[in-house]
Amino acid sequence: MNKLSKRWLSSDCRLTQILGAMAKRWWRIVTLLLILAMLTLWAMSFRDQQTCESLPKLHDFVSKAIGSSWYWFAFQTLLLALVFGVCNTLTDICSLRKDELGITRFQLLILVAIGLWIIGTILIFHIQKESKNDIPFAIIGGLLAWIFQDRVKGAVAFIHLRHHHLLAIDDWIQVPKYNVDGEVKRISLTTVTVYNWDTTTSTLPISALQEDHFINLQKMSEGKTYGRQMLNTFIFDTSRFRLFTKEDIEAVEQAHGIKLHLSENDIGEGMLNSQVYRLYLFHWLMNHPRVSQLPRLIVRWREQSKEGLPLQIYAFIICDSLAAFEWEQSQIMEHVIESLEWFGLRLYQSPSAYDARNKNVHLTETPATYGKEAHHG
Amino acid sequence: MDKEQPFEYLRKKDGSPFPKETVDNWYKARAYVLDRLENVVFKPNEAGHLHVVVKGDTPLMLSVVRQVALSAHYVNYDEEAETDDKKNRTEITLVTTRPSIKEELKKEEYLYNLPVYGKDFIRGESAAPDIPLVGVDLELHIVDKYDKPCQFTFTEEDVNRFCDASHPDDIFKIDTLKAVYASRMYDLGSVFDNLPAEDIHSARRYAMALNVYQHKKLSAKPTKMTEKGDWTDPNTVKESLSNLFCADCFKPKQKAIEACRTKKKQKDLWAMHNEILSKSEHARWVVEKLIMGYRPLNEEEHYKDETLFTDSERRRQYRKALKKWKSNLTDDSNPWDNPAHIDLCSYADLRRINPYNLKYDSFLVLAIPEILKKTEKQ
Repeated sequence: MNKLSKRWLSSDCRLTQILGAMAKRWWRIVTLLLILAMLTLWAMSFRDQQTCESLPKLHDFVSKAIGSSWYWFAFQTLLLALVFGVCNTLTDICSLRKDELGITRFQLLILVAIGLWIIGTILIFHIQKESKNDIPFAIIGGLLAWIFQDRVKGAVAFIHLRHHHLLAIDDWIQVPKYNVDGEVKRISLTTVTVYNWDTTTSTLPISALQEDHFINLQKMSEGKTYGRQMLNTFIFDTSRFRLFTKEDIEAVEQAHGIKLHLSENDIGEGMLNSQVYRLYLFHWLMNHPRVSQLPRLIVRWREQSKEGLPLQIYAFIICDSLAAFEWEQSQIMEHVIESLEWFGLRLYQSPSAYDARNKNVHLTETPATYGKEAHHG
Repeated sequence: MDKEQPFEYLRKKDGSPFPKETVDNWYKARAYVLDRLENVVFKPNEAGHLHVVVKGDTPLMLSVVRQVALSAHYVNYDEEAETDDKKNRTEITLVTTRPSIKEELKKEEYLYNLPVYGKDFIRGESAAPDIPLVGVDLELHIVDKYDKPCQFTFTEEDVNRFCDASHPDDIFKIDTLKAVYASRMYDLGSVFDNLPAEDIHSARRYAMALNVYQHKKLSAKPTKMTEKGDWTDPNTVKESLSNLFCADCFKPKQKAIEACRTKKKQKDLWAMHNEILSKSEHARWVVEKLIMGYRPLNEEEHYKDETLFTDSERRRQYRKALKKWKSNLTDDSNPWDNPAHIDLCSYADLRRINPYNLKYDSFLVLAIPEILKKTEKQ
């Protein structure tokens, strides 16, 4: 039976897969059928005899049982268990094969089965307003709803997330509240299992994803969005800021084979080298094959600090993996460091204890130039 | 719907009409090339490329080269492949001994801007510095002699024989129905303003809305292509002909998708391969625009465009102005300068420079099976 089950489960046909899952749960089916057959046969034989002298009590019990609501209740509950088993088996298989539609369908089938079970229970026990069992059933129903409220919410969340394609197998998600950061490996009607980047596994209620904040980074990591955000700040030593004349601009263009496209109006009496550099960097990034012009590409000065003037790059890099992103980002940073020298600029770096102790650093009688060497150098 | 003769409306850059012989050659070349390449199929990601040998340098054969350049675009072109042989570019071998052939090809009735701005288009030809180049899915080899057997060897006798055997209406008149529907589907992109910023090719998110509008646009009664818009305006003519050249490539795309048929529905297959098909459509569009006389933005125009980033409306207007054919013929200093189009770039660049325009190709590609179904019925 096991071999048959495996063969059917590996089929591409949905119906064969369902049969395979049922075959995997063959003992449940056999049990269900046996119970039904036994009860039915017993009841039939007693009905024929009308009376049973040897086992009057058992006869009464079984007759009542087959005719009573509990018989059908037990039947539908066993059927529900079977649906649960089959759907969960098939969900596991769909998860492995990343069959998103299959996962949704089988999980919704469980929901439908539960709904039918509830309706069946109401019909079997004739639960109506002012019927004799309405109060106990109302209490049981209320109690069950309270106990399973998270599951009910989970089912709603599942439908919402799946319907709007907000969650799928292998998606990279972050749930800050639960400190979850990793790939989704299993989605069920009530829970989501995430394999975290630190190789731990988290299981969280699916309702938490709807109620709390979660971030799906999958499209971004696949390079389907405008790109990954790059936000880097470089602190410039302001002592190197000076006027950059037309001749300076031409010299830079010639020495480094770049074109700054600055008009006479722009240059006028001259521009600060920091301004020319900012414009250069902006257009260099605009034409960078891995930098998206949208949604934002900003090169801006931030608030002056005691260390210097921070220049910030806020851009989006198009790439399809973290490694590629880091590589591109590093290359951009290297270009920033390399090119600022062309404009006579320098990054700020605070002196370390080593610098202070170093014998090359000493007081001198020569007056400080305050960066004037940069004008000529 | 009656067949039309849209090529007659094309004008030279000085505003004068093309000679009748040139126009006739375009019709003949179109009919012949589409017929010969009808069964060429390349599946997405399939290795290999089409090789066409064109023997002769007469105006008719140069028109054939032009038509091959307009029609031979396949979905296996990979613009990002590291090596040239993996790009799967269509190879056109032109057999001629004429020394001035390159200059001849640059004439506006043939390939016009394609040899100038197409990156590595002519094998062995290095581009002039400062010319903005754009990657194309074609390459042209100009050789003195070519003796190797090739399935697609086009000669003038062949073309003439084909044309003599065909009814003149099938050659000199064009069924523009597909082009009319293509034009409507192209407009579809402008209906949707609030598309998800992520993954434009994931059509399932807006499939229902898309179907509604597709149906609406396709169900309206078709009108003749030449009856819509002002066909004395070169912009209208070139934009409308773009739909015609686009529609000519529907069948190869359909065959490519059918070649990878699985149990999935046909519509799902088109959606699944949407990105590859859109890339291919963009590659076709780039070649067509270069042949029609457009060019990529040069460095200075790019710079100006970039400086307008603070004012998106001005930027849009600037881009629009760049792609218009100048109608002021009295300005001798700059008569009929080639218009420049911001989207004349690789698909990867389009995604980072002007991603809003990706939707046009994407929606058009999704509508191709519907258009073909509709036109086959009629």
